[in-house]
Amino acid sequence: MKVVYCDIENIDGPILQVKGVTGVGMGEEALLPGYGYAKVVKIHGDTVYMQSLQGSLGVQTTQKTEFMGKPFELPFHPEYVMGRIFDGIGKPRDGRPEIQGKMVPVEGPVVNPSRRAMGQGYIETGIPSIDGANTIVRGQKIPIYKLPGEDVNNIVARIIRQARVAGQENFSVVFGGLGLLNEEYIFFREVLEEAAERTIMCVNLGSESPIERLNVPHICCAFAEQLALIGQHVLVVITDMLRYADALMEVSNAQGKIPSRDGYPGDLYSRLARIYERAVNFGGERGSVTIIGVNSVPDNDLSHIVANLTGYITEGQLPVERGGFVIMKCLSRLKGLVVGKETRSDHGPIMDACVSAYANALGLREQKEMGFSITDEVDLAYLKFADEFESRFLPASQNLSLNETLDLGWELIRILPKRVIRIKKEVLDEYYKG
Amino acid sequence: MKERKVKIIMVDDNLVVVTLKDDGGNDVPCMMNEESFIGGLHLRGEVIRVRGNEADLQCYEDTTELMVGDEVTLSGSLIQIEMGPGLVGSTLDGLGNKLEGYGDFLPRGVMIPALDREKKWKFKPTVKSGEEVAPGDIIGEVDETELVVHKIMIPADYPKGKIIDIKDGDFTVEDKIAELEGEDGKKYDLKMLQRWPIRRPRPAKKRLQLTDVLNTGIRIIDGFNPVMLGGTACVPGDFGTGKTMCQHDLARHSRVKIVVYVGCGERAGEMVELMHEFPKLIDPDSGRPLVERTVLFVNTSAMPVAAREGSILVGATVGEYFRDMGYDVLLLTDSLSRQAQGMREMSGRLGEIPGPQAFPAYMNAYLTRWFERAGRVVCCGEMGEERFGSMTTIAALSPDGGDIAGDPPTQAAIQTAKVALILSRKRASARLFPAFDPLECHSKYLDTSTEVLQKQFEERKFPLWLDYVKKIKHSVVDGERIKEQMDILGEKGIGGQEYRRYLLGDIVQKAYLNQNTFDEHDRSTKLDRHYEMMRFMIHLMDIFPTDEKQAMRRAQEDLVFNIVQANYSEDYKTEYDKILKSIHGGEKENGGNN
Repeated sequence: MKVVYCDIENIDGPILQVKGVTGVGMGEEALLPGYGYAKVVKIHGDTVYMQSLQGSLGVQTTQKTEFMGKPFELPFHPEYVMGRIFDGIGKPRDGRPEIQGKMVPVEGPVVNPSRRAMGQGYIETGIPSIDGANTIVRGQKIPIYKLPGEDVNNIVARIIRQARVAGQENFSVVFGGLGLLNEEYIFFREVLEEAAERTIMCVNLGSESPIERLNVPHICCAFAEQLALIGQHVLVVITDMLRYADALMEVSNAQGKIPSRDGYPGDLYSRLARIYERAVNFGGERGSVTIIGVNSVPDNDLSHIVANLTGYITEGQLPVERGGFVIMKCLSRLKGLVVGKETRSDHGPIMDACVSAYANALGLREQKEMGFSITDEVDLAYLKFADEFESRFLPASQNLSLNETLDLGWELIRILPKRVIRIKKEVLDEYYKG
Repeated sequence: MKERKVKIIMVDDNLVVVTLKDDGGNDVPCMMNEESFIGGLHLRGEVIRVRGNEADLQCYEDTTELMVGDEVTLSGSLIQIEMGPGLVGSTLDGLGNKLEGYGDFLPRGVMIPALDREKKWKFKPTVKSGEEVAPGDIIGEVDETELVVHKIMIPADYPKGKIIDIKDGDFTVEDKIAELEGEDGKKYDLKMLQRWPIRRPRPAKKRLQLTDVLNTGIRIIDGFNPVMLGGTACVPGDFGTGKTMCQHDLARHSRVKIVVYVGCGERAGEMVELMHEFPKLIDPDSGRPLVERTVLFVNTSAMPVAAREGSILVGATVGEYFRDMGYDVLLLTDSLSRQAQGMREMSGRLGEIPGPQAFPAYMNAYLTRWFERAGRVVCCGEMGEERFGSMTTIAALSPDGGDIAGDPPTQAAIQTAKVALILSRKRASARLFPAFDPLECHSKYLDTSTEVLQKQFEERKFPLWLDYVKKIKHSVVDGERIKEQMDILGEKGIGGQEYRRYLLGDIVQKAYLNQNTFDEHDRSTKLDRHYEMMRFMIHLMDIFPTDEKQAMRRAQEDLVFNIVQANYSEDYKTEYDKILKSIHGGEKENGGNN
């Protein structure tokens, strides 16, 4: 049922109000002919509040509105969708025609927790700090935290290029860009075009409306979910989720909602969770959706509310500083599901030992910097270990197999005397060989 | 009240406003907290405010596609949960729907009852026809799992009366197993299924002082910060500090009859872990899978916000129900903060005047009331001997920004719960788990129930338990203090004796407080082994030789290594002896790890 309404009653930021409306449902898609799209976010009596995806620049009070009678949907086809680029409304931005396929909801229903399988298998990125110490399991969701001034695009590109699922051919990558700068867009487009047969891109540019950004993560996840249901293992990489939170704040404030912490809306947690929780492992013959979300962290303060809530929602974190992962703050919560079970039996012990030794060494280095002289031979060994670990293990600009990463760990730990290494004796005896 | 139909006049996210007028313009009555079914899909909702001719409803499901003018049915009753045989081992959503009944995705407006309607249970009556019974009295039993005998009770909201025609045999939960001729002259059908409104605490005959301690198997809790059976504790911690791991460990190892685990607004993956693990994990005491004593409520963060409240309330109701059978129940909730945040969202939509950080003014009182559902009671009923039951509540909190001091729900929980088990980012980063901060955690029971605890430990033949705890705790505090000095003055700035004390405190932290959840022996410590371990640690403190700093540090490193290895072994006593001998024997042996 399509009914066209004339006149916009109120324009308040991106929130438009139309009066005298009946028969319109929550979340419904609205077409503003000649202008763009909007989503119904509140209905009060005969007044409908819409969130305009294009913002409100140049909206006329005489603008017509056409309600589409359904929530936002996307056409999906498992083959035609590969190599394509979409915008924040789900329309092609690569100049090619719209996909012919079945329509799927952008914000679909929630996956039944009792139908989820345990995380299984892992995604190999070739980067030792991830694969070795913070293994990403299929179906996991994990953010990369970055300083606003930091450029992680190279790391993200490396992950997109190198990511693989051991022993699996049916692997694809969905890339979501929120408020990308034009040069970033061109950069990522080139990266993704290298493997067009297994990649999809959905991008909103920095020059475009921020409200559109609210859709991008869901479009990515909708595609990924559909692919997973037919047996694909999908890695979704989204950058930058801080811009999602900012867009949410803009919309929420325009609706007069009371902000909670740092000006962000009270439902930020739930909204972020709706995205990240779409990571899933269906199990059996079917595939999985793994999500890596890049999130800027103002002031490098991990207690910043967006990073903090993301931390509660996701299954770990990968903070980046000066081009490498800050291993002491990195965490992959699900790695225990595969480490030592699907990987070598020494995987867990050696990586724990390396990280714990590095932590110890950092403490010593701090003392040294404060002017205390370090003379103990064990302490000196720790300091040497730290230097080697930093120059050989931590840099993200590598592409090692998992076993190469583990061997590197053993090579480095041998710098320390055997008796200070906290590893179960049997494992230590087998691998230390020093 | 009978069912009534009204219409929607406003929808804002999960807030739905209806007009309390019918089509003819007549007033429609309504009840506070009345269960309602919204729109064509019959989404579940609840009246949460009434203002003149309008009622505000919170919708427990996603409101997409609801329209102004859609019909809403006011059901005439409060939201209830059904209880009976079949609860144990099941996985339910925040409103008590059985999740296994749904497909890959959760549809809206579809209710799947918690209890299987087809399955027949063997009902064994324990009373005879003609006997006088009161609410809460047990009239029969069902072997629900190998671990749990499900007691069938006269529902707490029925009158006293006489049992008529009680049966024996296999029945479904809806079959009539007996009849009750009430004092009021009415007859009531008795079934194995009964319902209770989730917002109303279930009654007890008497609430009691707490006298017994809960054995969680986690040393820093059982030793430093004991939780009483029927008591309350909160576990606040920033993400990544092991909050959920702690809740999982408690669910696995706590020595109680029933565990009710509520996942409230957290990750689905964690709940999946429990669902997959518990049927396989064997309880060492009973030799049976843990699933046979567990009820899981799953409300994940992607599910509608209002259902978070549903989940903590159904959890408490089901916990009380098993308590009323005379069992010790542990109610674990992860995380209470999500409910507080859900309240904040709704409060904002209702346009209420906000308190600190936009949380509603009634949040503290709400959380206190919820914690107060815990306790040790004399169960309702008048037949036979008095029955004692308890519900212990341990709730995790997720402070916004990791800011424990500045997060209103966390502060509310710390004020209310008797035990605060505070997780430390520092210890977690140093990979010292469980990452409870030994200096920040506290158990008010240690101050208020000292005599009760002492008596209780004496009965269990651990007369020196509290003395040991005091000494070991002192060593940690002392060690931390010296460490602070060392951070400023350096190692050379402090004396040999102080350095020794610092090292001893460090041993306690690394070898006693630190517990490896992945090791089958170390992950859970029974009270007798725990007692031996404390005795050993204290002995160690006495005999640890004073030496040069370097030498002491070497000796300490070896000791930590060896104690941790002892923790991993079953025959810890032999290992302890070896360690003590090696110290007495001087430097001849070097820990034996070369």
